[in-house]
Amino acid sequence: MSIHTGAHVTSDLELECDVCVIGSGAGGAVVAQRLATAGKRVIILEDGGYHVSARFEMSEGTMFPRLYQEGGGRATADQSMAILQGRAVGGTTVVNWTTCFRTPERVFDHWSEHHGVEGITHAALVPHWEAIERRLNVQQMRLDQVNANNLVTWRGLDALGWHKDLLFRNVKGCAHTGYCGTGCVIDAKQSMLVTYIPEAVQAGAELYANAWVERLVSEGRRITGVIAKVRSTETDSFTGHTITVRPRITVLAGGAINSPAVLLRSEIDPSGRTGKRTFFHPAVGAVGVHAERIQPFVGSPQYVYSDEFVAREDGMPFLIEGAPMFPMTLGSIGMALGTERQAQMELLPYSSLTGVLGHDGFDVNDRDEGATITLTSGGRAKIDYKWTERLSNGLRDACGAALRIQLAAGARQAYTSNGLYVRSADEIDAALARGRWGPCEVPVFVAHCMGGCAMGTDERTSVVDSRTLRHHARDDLFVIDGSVFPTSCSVNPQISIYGLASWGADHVREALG
Amino acid sequence: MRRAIVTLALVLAGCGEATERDPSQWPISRVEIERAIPTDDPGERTYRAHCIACHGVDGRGAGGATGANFTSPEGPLTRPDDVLLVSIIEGRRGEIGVMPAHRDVLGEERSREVLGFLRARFGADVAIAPLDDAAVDDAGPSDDAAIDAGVIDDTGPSDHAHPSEAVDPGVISPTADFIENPGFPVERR
Repeated sequence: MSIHTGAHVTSDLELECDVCVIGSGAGGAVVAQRLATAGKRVIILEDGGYHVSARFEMSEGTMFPRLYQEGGGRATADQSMAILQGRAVGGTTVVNWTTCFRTPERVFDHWSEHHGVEGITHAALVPHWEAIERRLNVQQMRLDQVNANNLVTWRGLDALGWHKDLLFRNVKGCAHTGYCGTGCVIDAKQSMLVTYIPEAVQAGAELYANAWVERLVSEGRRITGVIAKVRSTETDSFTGHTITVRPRITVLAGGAINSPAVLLRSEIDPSGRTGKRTFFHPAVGAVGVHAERIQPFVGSPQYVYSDEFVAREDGMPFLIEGAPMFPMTLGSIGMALGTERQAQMELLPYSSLTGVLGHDGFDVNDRDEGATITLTSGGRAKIDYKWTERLSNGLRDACGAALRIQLAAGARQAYTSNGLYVRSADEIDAALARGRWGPCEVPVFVAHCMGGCAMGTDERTSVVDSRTLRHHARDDLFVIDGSVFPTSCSVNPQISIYGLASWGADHVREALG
Repeated sequence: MRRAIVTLALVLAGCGEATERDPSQWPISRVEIERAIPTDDPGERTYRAHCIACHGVDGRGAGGATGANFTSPEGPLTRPDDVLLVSIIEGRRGEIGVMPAHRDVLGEERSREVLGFLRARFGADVAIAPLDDAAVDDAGPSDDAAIDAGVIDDTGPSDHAHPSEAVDPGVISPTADFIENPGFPVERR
């Protein structure tokens, strides 16, 4: 029982176990812990490095390359969406902003009605969520804890009479340092790195970090081997050593984007649906400049949210949340250049951000297919997002809502990432009409990667059986992560994935006998 | 070839046309924001109204480019209050340039208020130098050296009073003589 890094692997390894879990994030860590504590021999393979809080440097410049996919530079092929996805032992849970929502019931209803999802239900996940939320100390924020930045969004929602509530977060002893996105330096964030991973390892699981799973080897409907290439802990390049795992059951938990990529590299794609319908909650927002020092980089990233537009039917629904601004975040959001950018940066201490997450994948006419994952010639994931009018209009409406919130909260000026500046609510409609909302015309950040291995009951339209999370085409392969969502899940996804993984772990145990 | 030249000419012509930007479509100025922030400190109000344009929201004068940097441990806040009051009231010609006299817009009380604000907001890490050093430093070398070096043009008429007797004998110089007799300079003028 231990954690091995690329530096420890000095020869090719051949390993046997009950369960090989590929990925150590929200899906993989929970599955590994559930199975290891049940006495199963578990091996976890993780592409990212093993980084602990003592090495978290509270600096965007050093930590993004260390803890995020593609050094923080993952993006769609057309660069229209920047994708913040974690890459480390613990996965995205190490760098997320600790916002906790259970998957709403309406989402399960939608999956059942439109995507043939059976077996997994909201009610089935409730006991799993209850146990996980207790373990991760998920608690609702109090209004007196809310930082100045989120209070602006709260005030704006209040002034507009829109729905508002305080968020739940998985923290214990949080000092509200605000560095969630670069790794919690005091281990207050109850990420997989400090909870389920240590418990799994304590129970006997072997974790190999810096181990990139190249492919699964199949014989008929069985997986006979998992082949991983070992990376250097220093350079991240391959050392030439491989790890070959021969498990009884394989659990693919690389997350959206990476799980479909493993299947595609392994040529396991009988339905042609692998990598299709990948969703991101495309996020935009509005910055308000206030006659008060907001310091939007101080305090936890998110405390407040609004459900005001989550059920809208005349366009893409969206969820409103307070959102932080760090120098690099502001410096990389938006189209402004030169003196305009300098002027925006000078205003950072007075600025507040209201963020909006678009709910992609919910168009019942199925014109809303999100991204498709394919492979580059080098076998890496290539991400192509199909930008639709529904998305463009939805982002426009979302920016409008965020502008209204900032102005209602007293902003002297509010602006969007595509450079629309307004000083009063009367100016918003004209500004939105003037704005351009196509790909690379409005910068979009995404932090929630979902879909690509959709679950369902029809083998022709889904990749994974929603009754077990077993792959339709392999008897001993499960996919247990956010990639199985048939649409986006409409809320920050960590709790959704934990619950699904715990539920899925029961089916893996059943399969092990 | 001819077609290529015509195309190139059209492209270059296009490059010359700067797009006019609607001034409302630009970030609000930081000074406007700072001025809108409520404050109970009359010194801060004065600073925002009369000083912030050159010395900046952060008191650093854009790194010394537009005004003296109050936060510098070698900056103006090393000088005693009475010396600085003269600079505020009568103006000052220094290495950076000319600070206008504020005798007509700020009386002694408002000058003292703004000085109190400067020390509280920007002077936490600045030690006030002993009187003699400060006086000597202020009275002479820096200005003269700047003038000698041609950095400051002191030949033409100036709307602003200069604290050095060499330029404007009518204005009292912040020397030891003044400090011994700290009547307020506006009265003496």
